[in-house]
Amino acid sequence: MDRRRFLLQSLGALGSLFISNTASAQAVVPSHSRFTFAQLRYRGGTWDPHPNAHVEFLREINARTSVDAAPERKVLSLTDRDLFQFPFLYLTGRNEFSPFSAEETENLRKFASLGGLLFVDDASGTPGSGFDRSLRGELERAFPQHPLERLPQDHSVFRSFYLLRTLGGRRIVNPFLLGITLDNWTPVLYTQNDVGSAWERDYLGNWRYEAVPGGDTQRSYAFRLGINVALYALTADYKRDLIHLPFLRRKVL
Amino acid sequence: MPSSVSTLWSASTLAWEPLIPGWAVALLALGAIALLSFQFIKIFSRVSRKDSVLLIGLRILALALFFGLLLSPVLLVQERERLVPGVAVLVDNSRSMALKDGDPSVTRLDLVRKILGSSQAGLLHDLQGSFIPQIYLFGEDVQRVSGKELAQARADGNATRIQKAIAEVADQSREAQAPLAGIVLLSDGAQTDAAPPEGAGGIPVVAIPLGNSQKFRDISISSLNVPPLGFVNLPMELKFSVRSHGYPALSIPLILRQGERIIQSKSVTVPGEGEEQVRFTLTPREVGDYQLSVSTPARAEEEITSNNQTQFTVRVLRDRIRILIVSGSPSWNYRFLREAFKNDPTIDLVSFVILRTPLDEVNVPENEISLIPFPTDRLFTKELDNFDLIIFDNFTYLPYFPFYYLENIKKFVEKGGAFAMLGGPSSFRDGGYAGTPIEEILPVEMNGPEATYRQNSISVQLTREGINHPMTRLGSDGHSPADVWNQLPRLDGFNRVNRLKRDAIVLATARDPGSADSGEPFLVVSSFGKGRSLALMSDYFWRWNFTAAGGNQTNRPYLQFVHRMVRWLVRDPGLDPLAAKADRSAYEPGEEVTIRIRALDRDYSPAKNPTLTVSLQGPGGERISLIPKPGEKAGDFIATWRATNSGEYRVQVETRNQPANPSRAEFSFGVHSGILESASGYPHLETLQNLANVSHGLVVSPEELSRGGTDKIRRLLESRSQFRLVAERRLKLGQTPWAFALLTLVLCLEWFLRRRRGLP
Repeated sequence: MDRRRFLLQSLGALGSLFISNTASAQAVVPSHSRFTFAQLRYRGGTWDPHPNAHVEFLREINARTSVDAAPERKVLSLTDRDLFQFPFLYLTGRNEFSPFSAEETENLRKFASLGGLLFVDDASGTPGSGFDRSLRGELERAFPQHPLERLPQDHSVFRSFYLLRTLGGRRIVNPFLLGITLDNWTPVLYTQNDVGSAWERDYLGNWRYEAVPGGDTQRSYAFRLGINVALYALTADYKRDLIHLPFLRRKVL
Repeated sequence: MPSSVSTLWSASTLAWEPLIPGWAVALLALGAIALLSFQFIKIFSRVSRKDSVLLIGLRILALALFFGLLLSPVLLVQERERLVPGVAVLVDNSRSMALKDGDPSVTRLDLVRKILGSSQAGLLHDLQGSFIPQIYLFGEDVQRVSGKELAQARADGNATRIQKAIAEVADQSREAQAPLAGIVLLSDGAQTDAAPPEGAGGIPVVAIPLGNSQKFRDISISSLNVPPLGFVNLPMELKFSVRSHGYPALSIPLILRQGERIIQSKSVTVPGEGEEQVRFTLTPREVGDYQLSVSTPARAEEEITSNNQTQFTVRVLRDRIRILIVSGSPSWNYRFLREAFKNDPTIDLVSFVILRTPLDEVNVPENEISLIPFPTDRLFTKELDNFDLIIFDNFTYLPYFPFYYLENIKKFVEKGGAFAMLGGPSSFRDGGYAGTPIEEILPVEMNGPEATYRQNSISVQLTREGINHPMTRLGSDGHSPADVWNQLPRLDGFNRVNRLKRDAIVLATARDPGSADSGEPFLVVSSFGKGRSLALMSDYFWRWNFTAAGGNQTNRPYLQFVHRMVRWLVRDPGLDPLAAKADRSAYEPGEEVTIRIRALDRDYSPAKNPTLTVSLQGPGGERISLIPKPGEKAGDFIATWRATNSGEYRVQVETRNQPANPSRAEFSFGVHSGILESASGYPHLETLQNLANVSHGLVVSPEELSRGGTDKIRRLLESRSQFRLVAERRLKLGQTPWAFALLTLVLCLEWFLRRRRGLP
């Protein structure tokens, strides 16, 4: 990084701190009032491998879309009494974690069936990780009749804002998304590409991790995926409405 | 039913009443056979063969007499009398029996009278003596008449219900325990109820068909498939049958009318003595009752002209409720509302969500984004009238379309559409709607600095109006609506409004939890022009779905509320405060028409003293005012009217409790003479033949009666003669002195012969 870029980023960081403080002085916004990035905390393993990933993601979603996203994340467990105030949940980790209790499993099942969305991100960057094994076991217990399956390319999540043909992340472990679908709603979306690490900056504003092998293009697709997942949570199959079809057909073909 | 004794008739039968059980008789018989065999061997060796046979024969005779006495024979002598049975003579006096079938001087009913004759001649005379004729007139109902009444009867019945008449007469005879020998049916067979032929409980039916199908000339139109319900903007097919009798192949013009207005016309070619089907396709454009008719002009020599048209009513409803929802941004409110609408099969949802504002960054080519242009011109000018309800959900119009589109929405509501504004930071005054046509539509005023969006935690309570209102009267497991609303999760955002409009009805208020104040308007409704509007001052009511169901509650109140909100806004008749209907859709002249009215106040409690006006508009445009009387339950009213002239009548019921916004209910009914009977007078010999076949009767034409037909009828009826037991005598043969004397005599003779032959 050259000196000019470093100075500009430092000034930007200072400026954003100033704006943030001014905004919070004007209105006290409860964290669950708008689209809130709620992250799931669990026992064992590493539930928060990239603690600042949400910051850049929320900044991007506010900048690029009309979604009114709360700037702070909310950390919750599956037994938290506020769980059903937040229909979007982010679950990540690198290692194996302790099995969910019966109450946690039941709450996860209820969360999904009532219309909530769980976005799962394997931060290990390797296939068959401990996190992957634990997650699959928990999902199988919670949704025994509904296996985790590869989502087709015409799924609404791939067109809820961006027309996604490529998936991003820190590492491309799988070029596809997995999901559990109940009727017409896919309440569980799972990527193994560690998108959280691709979103995260350090305190100086630099990207904390390199996106390999695609670099910044691959990183930009990680943001696009996150935005599409959030928009899918907020609009469901909106992009399948008839009013969109002729436009989308023209763009896709 | 009277019947008299004709002749006495006797019959005898022999019966047995054994004195000892049968098995004992059998044992004794075996013993007797053994004894006889032994004695025969003994006697045969001592006397001649001739004497042996004589002695053994006498012994057998004595034993037979003995066993005869044991079995105790009884002679039953019965005396019976033959009854003179009744014969029901069913005479069809429906309107079709007034037809003359080419002979200008004799109607079908006149011919019946001629066939039956009097006590001096005719079929009645021939039946009398052997049978007791009982004459009935039937059309819609059955009525027993005398010969004199038959002579004066007119063919004026409004229906022909042959099967019903037969069943009633058969039942009467069964109840009176005087079975009929038969039923003589005189009819043209043109039944109006299409009842399948059935037996008459074992009573044979003798059918004498009237009418001459060769001379009958008629064109008739009947409905084959006319759906009673249609839907706005959906083509509906109306199917009719056109029949021709007595004419060669004809091209027949048909006219479809709504009231007096011609809607469509077409020609159909009907073969001679044939039938042709014809279809009209109608696409109703408005909700309501459509009084329709299909007709063709009368032709020369046509027997019946009233069946040249058929009238019917089609009720046109909304097909599906078409909702346009415009959301200012993707939000949980949109997400859960969308889900509720999409899961309702009666709702057709078009939604548009602003995914990106003009201020948002654009950092990728357009073909990598799934966004589409906001088709404002199409939605708010060209296709606005295709919707029933428009919802602005936290949406500001300012960056997207010009002011005059709001004027279009106002006109849309004035004409009967519905509009709802849901709260949020871009709604009401914050959305720039103060002083716009949207503010005119809505029941709230939003000027003033206080009228802005706040992020307060609020709880929602029903008002007194809200407790009765169909939109908010939510039920759940026996809880009152107020309880249900009190238990809903709190909301964290709220739009304050300046003040309420005069006609606004506040259904729910919002207040800070723990606060003692009466709260601020939260859910407000009103009418605007012919339409309705609603203001819901929050973008957080999705919590009543996801949060409530995730806790220890249910999302049923949310789903009920959304369902009812839509229904009330689009004026679903089921939620209307005024409902009125007649007890039938068609009446005969002279019948009483009963109109039942249900009136509710503006808070949807039963109306206590409503100012109700009920008026009828007749076929000639005449207006008749009726005075309704209170019914049995509070809010119920009844108005009655005696139907006079034939035609279609339009009823309007109005309440004037809210002069600016009266409630109105409208419907129609028809008054027609012989609605069914006039459909066809064509003689249906086949119907009569089927009746005769299933009842094991016969068909005798009027011409056959004088050529042996009457004798055939008599023979059939006589074969079903009935007898009654008058007396019965029982003669016990074994208990007479003669039986004992005979036994004694045989024993003595045997003993005498045995002594003479020197036997012991």
